[in-house]
Parts: sequence; structure tokens; C-alpha cells
Amino acid sequence: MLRSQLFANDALLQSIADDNDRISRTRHSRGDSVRKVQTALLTWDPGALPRFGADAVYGNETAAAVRRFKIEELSVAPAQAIDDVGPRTVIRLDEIQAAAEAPPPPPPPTPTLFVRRDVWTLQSAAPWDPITIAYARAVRTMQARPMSDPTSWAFQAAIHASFVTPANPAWNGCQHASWFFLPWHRMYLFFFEKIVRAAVLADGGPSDFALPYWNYDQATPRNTLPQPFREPTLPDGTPNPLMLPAGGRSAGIQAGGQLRTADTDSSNAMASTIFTGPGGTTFGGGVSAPAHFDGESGMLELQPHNIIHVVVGGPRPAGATNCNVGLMTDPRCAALDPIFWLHHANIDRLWNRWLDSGGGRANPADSAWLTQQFGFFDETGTAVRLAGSDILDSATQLNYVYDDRPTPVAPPPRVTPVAPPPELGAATDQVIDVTRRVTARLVVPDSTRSLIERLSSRAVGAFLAIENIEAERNPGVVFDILLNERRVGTFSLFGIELMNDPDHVHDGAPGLRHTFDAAEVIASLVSMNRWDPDALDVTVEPVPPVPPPGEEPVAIEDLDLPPVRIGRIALFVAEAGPDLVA
Amino acid sequence: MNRLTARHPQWWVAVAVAVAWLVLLAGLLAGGHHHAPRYRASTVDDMGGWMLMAFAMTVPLTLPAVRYVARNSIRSRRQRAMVLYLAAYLGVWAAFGIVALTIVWLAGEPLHKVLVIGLLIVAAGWQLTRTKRRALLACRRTVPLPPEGRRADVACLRFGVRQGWRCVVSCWPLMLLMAVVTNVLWMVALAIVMYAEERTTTGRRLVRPMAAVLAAIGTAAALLA
Repeated sequence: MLRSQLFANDALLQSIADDNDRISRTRHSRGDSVRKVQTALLTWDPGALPRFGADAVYGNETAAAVRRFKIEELSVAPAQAIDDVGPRTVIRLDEIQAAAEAPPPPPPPTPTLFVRRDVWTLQSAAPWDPITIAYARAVRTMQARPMSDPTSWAFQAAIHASFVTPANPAWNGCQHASWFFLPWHRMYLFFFEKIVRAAVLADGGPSDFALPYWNYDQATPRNTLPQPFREPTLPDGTPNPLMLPAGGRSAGIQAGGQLRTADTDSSNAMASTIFTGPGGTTFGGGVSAPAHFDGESGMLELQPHNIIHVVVGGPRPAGATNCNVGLMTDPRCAALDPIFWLHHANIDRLWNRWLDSGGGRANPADSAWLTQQFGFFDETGTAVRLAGSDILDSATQLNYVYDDRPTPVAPPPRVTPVAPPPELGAATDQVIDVTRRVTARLVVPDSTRSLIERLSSRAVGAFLAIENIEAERNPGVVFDILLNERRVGTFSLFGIELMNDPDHVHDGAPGLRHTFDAAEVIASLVSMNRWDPDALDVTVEPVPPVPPPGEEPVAIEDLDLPPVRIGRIALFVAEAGPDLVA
Repeated sequence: MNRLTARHPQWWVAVAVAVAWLVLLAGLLAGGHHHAPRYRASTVDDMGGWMLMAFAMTVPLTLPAVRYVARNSIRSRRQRAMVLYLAAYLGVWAAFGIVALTIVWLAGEPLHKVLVIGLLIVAAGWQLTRTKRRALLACRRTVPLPPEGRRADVACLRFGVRQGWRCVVSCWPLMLLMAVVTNVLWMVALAIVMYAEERTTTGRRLVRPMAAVLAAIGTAAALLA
């Protein structure tokens, strides 16, 4: 049976196919069947009948074209090629015509909503999954592109920040230490994911590809570096671009060492109910303005974001201006590490989960935040811009969700004392140089003594601020803060290089400031009878890098850390006034 | 009101700035005929006028720092801390004023026109320098403030000197220009330019375009002279 619509139901052509008849210059040389053969020849080669086309006459031109068809398409030896239409010619022309008539294969179905999945769930059965393999192969593709290509790995990383000079104007745009941290990084990931997905599709990878995320705030092994980032090779034996050369990450993390819960924990950020505002204890960060002294990082940015950067990257060599060691520790190298994107997908996920938690949690309604545009590049290398108002809802505006939607349980909103503003109650009176564990006593002036004493009642808010933190470079370790030996929080110096650079426009002053809610710790000190306004000792303790499994951490003294100077440690008190808001 | 003053402990400084502008504008109304730039005749008697102008023009630039000083001091020390900070900040501007007025006096009246044109061109060029840019970016640098005692006083003074000096580096050509020209309308225009550059995001973007504006005014003044 002839299959093409053109040949089907043609008795003569069917008869020829069955080897009962032929078309030649002398037999059936005119008519509809001849026109059909000519049409099919033109499908095979649009230049096959240059003079007469499909004229329904089997003349010299058609006969020559049939002969050529037999030689080229049916591999008949030229000496044996006769210029009439026989069964093999009809059957092959029918096949060619049927293929041409078939509708183009439908494009692979595009999911309406992309789902970003937990990388540890993907690899629960085996170290590799189609999504992680596709990511690795796309990274390799992007790494092979020249840096001048906006869709290359190096260009995309430089959009964050880069050592490379002269800098493209599209580079060094990362927003830290302000309320633009979350929206900028959401846009950055969105376009990066589009570039990766295009590379995945071109490579025949899964059409529903979405960036996985690394939720490290879970039990072992999920608090260790995901397995695909530790394998030297892909399943096909080729080098794995997700694993950096030795030194690229902290050795212990690369070997599968566990992150501390104290570093991965996002509960303080998630408990905050305000996105922006003064005081340093907001979810999303302070307002960005040129002369803003309170411009501070949001709690989610400080932890886990900043801390994971430093703990995963580890210490960098002094004076390093390249990206060979400790990539995640320096914003100018961080996005070159493929784990960067999974870390940021997790931060982006936490933003969604925070909004889901209710209790008044909402994005800023301020037009300065909503209308602020940032520029990126899409998968075709075209410059694109988005504003804050374009990215408020990832599902409806950007077409992606996370696999943990909807949120499990909303944490109870904490009572946030917003008025009157916290007052200084006690502070250190000399700068503190930190190269190892150091303890300083807070000076309590006579006039604020009663304020400090009232802290033993729970109705009073307390904030411990670590101020004017300066260092020439990020030491690549994080620092625990303890009040009378009880841990209040952890801080890192992520981004200090950019803030130190006198030529770099960046939120966050040289002299970082981190504020921690100390109310819980003070309450526990009171309950243990260890609260003494005359002996408020704050300890700053560098945390050694995560050791490889089974090994002891190195002594902090052996690390030869660059000096970190803390200008002041201050205890602020917010007394519950009449306009305290919940 | 209590809530407002608690949130903005620097409110009285802002009021003082408004009063300074009222005094300056009253001078404009009283001597309304001074529409064209007038040139200074003497120096030392003008120190009072210079400080009034410096207060009105440069204190608005540093109000966020005044607020920072207040909120980072214990309640009983707030006023003292703000006054010490402002005294140091204005002290830097006073020192600059002495230098500026002396230059103007030494140049003598015949050279004032040349000085104005020259300073407009210099101001235009200064807008494009790395030093200017760095001075603007350094605006958020702070000094740790101990809670009490002499150390606290010294820290407030040190912060004031630092911010004053940073501000002088950023704006000196425009303020030197104001030592030559005393027209209040110029004062208002330049104060707006300085405020925008120092305190607003839009103003930061206009630092370079402003160079073109200043150069154009300078060229026009040269052609008309």
C-alpha cells in the first residue's frame, strides 16, 4: 500500500508498485499519475525538473530526472539505470513524499510550570540524576563559550562580580547589604536558568529542566555537599565540571564534611515579620540610599546566605586576585562555582516560604523597591531588564515553583518592638582585634544601668550589634558571638572586599554591622541565674573550617588568619512602649 | 511628637538649618537688587557670613550622620554627642572658609570674574575625578563610638572631622565659588546640587552630567565677560 496522500488510491502507481506495470516515454506517458511522479521528484529535489516542472508529460527531462533518482537515491549502477518508473522508484518516491507530507514533529512539550527540586531528593537513589547530569553538561557547554558571549559561564559569573578588567558595564552588579539583595538574585537566577535550560534542550536533555536547590538545613547527609559536586567524572567517564579542582572549595566541605546547624539555620530570618526597615533585624534588608547609615543586610542574607558562602569557600590566600581557591568566599569568584546557583536557589526558595508563612509577612510596597530595574541577559544573549514588581510571584510571573510548596507550618510571628527605637544600653569602649577567641566586657554607664537591669524581664527587646567590623580581606572563616558563653549568633565577612573598594558602588559601608536579637539568650541567662549587668562579656570566636569526615578541625591559631577588627560591640534595648506592634 | 523626636533626634539641627536659610533669604528680600552675582569686598568680616552659609549648605548633607551619632549614644549623652560632632564638622568648614576667603582677598576684586569662570571650569572637571567619586562613596564610613567618657567625646569629634573633610573633598570647588559669589540664588542652586549628589540615588547618577552643566555655565560666563 502506498502511504503518501499524493500516491494513495492511484491505481496505476499501485500497479507499478506491485510490479505489474511501468511508466516510460512510451507507456502511460501522459496523465495524472505522471504529474504525481513529477511532484514527488520535486519533493526529493526541488531542482529536479527545471524547465517543464510537473507538466504531466513523461518527456526527456522527467526521464533524465528518474534516471538520476535511481542512481543517487536507489544506488543503481549508472550502466543499469533505465529511465522508466518501476516498483522501487514508486515505493521510494512514496516514502519521501509521505515523510514530507507528515506534519513537523511536535516540539517537546514545555511544562507550564517549572519545578525546582531539592538536589538531595533527586539523588536519593544514585549520585546522578537526569537533572544533575543535564546541569553538569550545560555547565560544560557554557564554560566552552568565550567570555565575550553573555551566555558563557564566565560572563554570567562576572555579572555578579569579577576580577577581570576592563570590566564590561554589565558586570559587577551584585546587590548585597540592602533590600535589593533578594530581588536582584531572583532575577539573576531566572535568566541564568533560562540559559542553562536552552543548553540542556540543545543537548537533548530533559525539557522540564529547572535549577535544583541545595537545602542544607536538614539532617545528614543533606547538610553535606551534594554528591554530584564531589564526583570526579560524569557517568559517561568525562570530567565533571561540577567538581572544582582542589582548593576551589573548603577541603572539608569538598570531602563531604557536615555543615553546622548553627550555620545552616534560617529560623531567625524566617521568624522576622518585616521585610525592610531600620534596626538590622529585618528579613530582606535595609533601604538602599547613598547616605544611609542604617543600610543593613537582611537576616536571610546574613544567615544562611553569607555564612554558607564563607563556610563552603573556606579561606583564600592573601592577596589573591584570581579564582583558583575558595571561590564561594569572594563575591568576585563565587558564581564560578556551580554550587553557587543551588545555594541561591535555596535562598530564593526561603523567600517564597517566608511569604507563605503569613503573619503579616509581605514584600515592600514602596515604589523605590518595586520600580528599581536591573539588567541581565536571556538565553539568546539579548539584554533584558526586570523591575521588582515583575518578580513578586515566582509561579505566576516567572513560571517556576519549588517542590516544597506549599509551606509546611508557619512559625509564630515574633513580637517586634518597632517603637520607640532601641536605645544604646551598653557597649565596649575600645576596638577589638580578633585573630583568635577574644572576650570583651561591655561598659554599662550609670545612666543606662536601670535599662540594662530591666532586661531581666521578658517584655523588653534586646539586640546585640557587632559594629564597624573591618578587615583587609575576608578571613574565610565565620565567627560565633557569645554573650556570657551563650551563643547569640554567627557572622561572616562575606563581601567585605567590595565594600573596602573605594571605587566600587556597593551597599554596606566599609565597617560592617551585624545585629542579633539577644532576647532569647538573655532570658536563658536569667533563668540560669547567670545574668549580671556588671559582668556582660561578649566573646568573638573564629570557627575553624569544616573538617573532612572523621578528622578533627584545625586549631584556629594554625590558620594564620588576617586580622579582623571590631570597632564596637553594643547592646541596644527596646522597651515595650504603648505603640509596640505585634 | 515624642515618637517623632525619638525617631529623629537630629530634629533641632534640621530646624536650625531652616532658620539659617530664612536668614539668608531675608537678606535676599532686603537687598532684592542683587540679582546679578556680587563680588566680595573683604574677608575677615565675612567669616560670620561664611559660617552662616556653610551651616545652611553643608549641614543638610550630614544630617543622617548626626542621627547616627545620636542613636548610637546613650540617651543622656545624645545632645552632647550631636553638638560635638557638628562642632568638628563645621570646624573643618571654618578652616576651609579661612583658606577660601584668603584666596579671594589675595586675588583682589579685578580677578574675581576670572576666579568665578575658572572655578566653574575646575568644578566641572572635579566632578569627573576619581577623588570626587571616592569621597561620595566614603560617605557611609563611620567611627565606633564608645559609650561614655573622654573616649566617647573624642570619637564624636573624630567622626565630625572625618565627615567634614570628606565633604570638603567632595564639594570644595563649589564652596570656593560661594566664597567669591554671595548671591543667595546661586547658594540655593548649588545647595540643591550638593544635596542631591550626597543624599539621593538620582543625584548620584547626575554627578557626571552636572560636569557638563557647570562647564557650560563657565563657558557662557567667559563669553559674556
